[in-house]
Amino acid sequence: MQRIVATYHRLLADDPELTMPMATIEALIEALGASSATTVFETMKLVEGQSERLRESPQVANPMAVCHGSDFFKQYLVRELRQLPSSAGAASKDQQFEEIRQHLLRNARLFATRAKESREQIASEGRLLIPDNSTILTHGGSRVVSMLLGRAAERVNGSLPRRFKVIYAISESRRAESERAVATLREKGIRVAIIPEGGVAHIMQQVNIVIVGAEVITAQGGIISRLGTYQIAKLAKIDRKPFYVAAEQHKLGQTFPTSQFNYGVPAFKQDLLDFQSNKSPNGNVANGLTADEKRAIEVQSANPVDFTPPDLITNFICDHGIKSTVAMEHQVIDMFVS
Amino acid sequence: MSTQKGGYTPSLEKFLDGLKSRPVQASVDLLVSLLKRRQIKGSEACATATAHILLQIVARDKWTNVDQLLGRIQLIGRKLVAAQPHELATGNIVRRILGLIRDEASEDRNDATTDSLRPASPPVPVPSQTSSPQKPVRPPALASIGSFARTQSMFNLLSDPNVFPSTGSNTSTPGQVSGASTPILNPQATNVSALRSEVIDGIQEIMDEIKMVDEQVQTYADIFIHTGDYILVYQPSRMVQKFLARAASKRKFTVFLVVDPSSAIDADNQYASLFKSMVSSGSNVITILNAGLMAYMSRVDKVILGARAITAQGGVVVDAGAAAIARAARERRRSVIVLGGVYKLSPECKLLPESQIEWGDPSKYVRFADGSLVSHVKVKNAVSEFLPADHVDTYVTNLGAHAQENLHTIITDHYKEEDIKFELYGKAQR
Repeated sequence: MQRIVATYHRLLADDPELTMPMATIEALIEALGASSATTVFETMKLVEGQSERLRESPQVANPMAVCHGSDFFKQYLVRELRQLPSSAGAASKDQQFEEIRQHLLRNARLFATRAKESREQIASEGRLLIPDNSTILTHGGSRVVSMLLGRAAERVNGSLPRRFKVIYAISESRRAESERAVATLREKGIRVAIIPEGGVAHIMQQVNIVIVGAEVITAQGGIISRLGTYQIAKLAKIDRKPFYVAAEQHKLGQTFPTSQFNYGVPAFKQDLLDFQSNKSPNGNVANGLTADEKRAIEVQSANPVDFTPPDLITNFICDHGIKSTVAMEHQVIDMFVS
Repeated sequence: MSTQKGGYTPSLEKFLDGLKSRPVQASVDLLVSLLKRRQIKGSEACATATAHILLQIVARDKWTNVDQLLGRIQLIGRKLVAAQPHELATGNIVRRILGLIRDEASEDRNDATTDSLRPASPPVPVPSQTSSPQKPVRPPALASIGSFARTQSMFNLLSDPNVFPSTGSNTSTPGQVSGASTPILNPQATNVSALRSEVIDGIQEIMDEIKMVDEQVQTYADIFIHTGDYILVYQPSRMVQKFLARAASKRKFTVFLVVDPSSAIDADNQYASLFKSMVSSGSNVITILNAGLMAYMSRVDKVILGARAITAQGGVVVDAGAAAIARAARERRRSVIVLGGVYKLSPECKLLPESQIEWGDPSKYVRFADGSLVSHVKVKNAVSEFLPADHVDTYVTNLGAHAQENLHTIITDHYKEEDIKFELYGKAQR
């Protein structure tokens, strides 16, 4: 029954390089291929239904990323439909739509490849933001940041490798992932120091710039990212260090968090505050939640995220250039409001 | 340094005078050497010279298709920028003109073929070819597709590799995935001479724009300067002086004129016209030295600075010394207003702030005759410095006043994505 959820997880597991919005798009395309929908209306309904199912599923760690992926996909379909010549009748419109459908089914893998290529693009955009002999602070397991730093340490088209050191803030709960990232960087000859997340304020004085990744770019130009990003951003702000976010533009979407505890996405149930005492050992989980809800809390709290508001972000390093937070905001408006 | 060679010192005027009589390549080489020797300096002069030389290339070089012309301009552009990478205006003009050529070329193509080549986005549907065979006004034409262009890069992700913006037919061009570089499908079809004259017109418009900037900016003067205000200016450029003079014609206010101690001696002559126009309308000018600045800051209402260049993120390249004033103003919560033409706004976003500091001739401070100093002490003198965006409150350009957040929309209105991406600065600054 939850085929789309299984597909989504399979895609993410099969390809560790795939981002969550991209996996959503691929899963939707797969669902499109498996269905018998032929008309525009049926297809839209199918996409709508499937993305809702995926978003609401308790197994999904980050429903915002799913939202963004599916919204982007829907927007693409709508846009393609609008561009069809309006003179044709309804029947031939459906036929033309079939062509679009075929194109999507055929090229699903290509999209994933392109999404990965955009990482290369980000790496080349970000390369020049690294000052000479600088120290860069990062954290989490962002693939974009790893790529960016890795490429910066290489010679590209005759431009010399950038000289820099990296401080990697490591969180205890995701040690393995961070250590893998550190190992890859060290292999490339980059000097990396490791500090616990608690030491960020202490070492900030040594840092020239901060570069982090993001899971989702929100509508106001903030980011939702690994727990700890917000904290680093705040500390960077206090010490006036530039805080860059390296992220692909397909992570952009309409999520509009109003606070750390309200992301405006009902399916998102992360709850890190489990108040306990010896007299009531069950904490606050017990009160009348369904099994699904409990499962969602569990899954989402296992991969916790936080929201970093735009005023803490200096700039985005995107595959289409270095963009300000306001530029990202405008892009969201252009995408979904026109 | 300032060896007066009478009438032979090369300057912008002389360069422009001889432009028509020289072969194009010779002019390019001359300009490169003038830029290198700083005999043409300042963003206005550099922008004007760049526009003129590129005009010559468009008008006099032999080119048979658009790609050839674009390539030529890019090549020359790189040379000019490499000659003096500190002058961001040079690169801006090169990019403006590249965008202009692309616009004119795509317009021609749309006129020639009746099929809609560009997929019409909802806000700008088909009328782009039906209603505009006459001269379009440039900035609006670009602006209208601004929102389209902003989202296009995102949708490229899911676009069909086999279908170009054209209508569904199988023009198979594999390999070209991103729509980033506008494909020039059949450049031969475009009418070269028509294109040439249109591009020349466009460049002339840009030149006019550069010339008009001072006048246009000063029209906003009475919005920012009010009666009784205390305005602080630092080594006011011609634009800032005009701005003040314009405001003085309507209001009475006080100007603190800050000058660097080294140039204090000739400050009276330099700013004579400013003094005259201010005093004649009843406003006051008080000259103060840079050193005693902070003491006056509590009286100051606004600080007005002229920009040498404005970066995409809102950072401003200013005369050395101005950044300290801006910092002092920030400390006292006084507003800082930066004046500069749109042509000074650079779309280049990969420049490091440190690279914007220009070091120059320290002879004002240490005379060459002072032998023991010269041989034992290293004297560095910053000519320009970088003012971070958070020290600026408002930017006033010929288009009006802008907040830092809106600068990027001006950039998308004036430059094309592919030209911003075009690596102009190369290794010049890194």
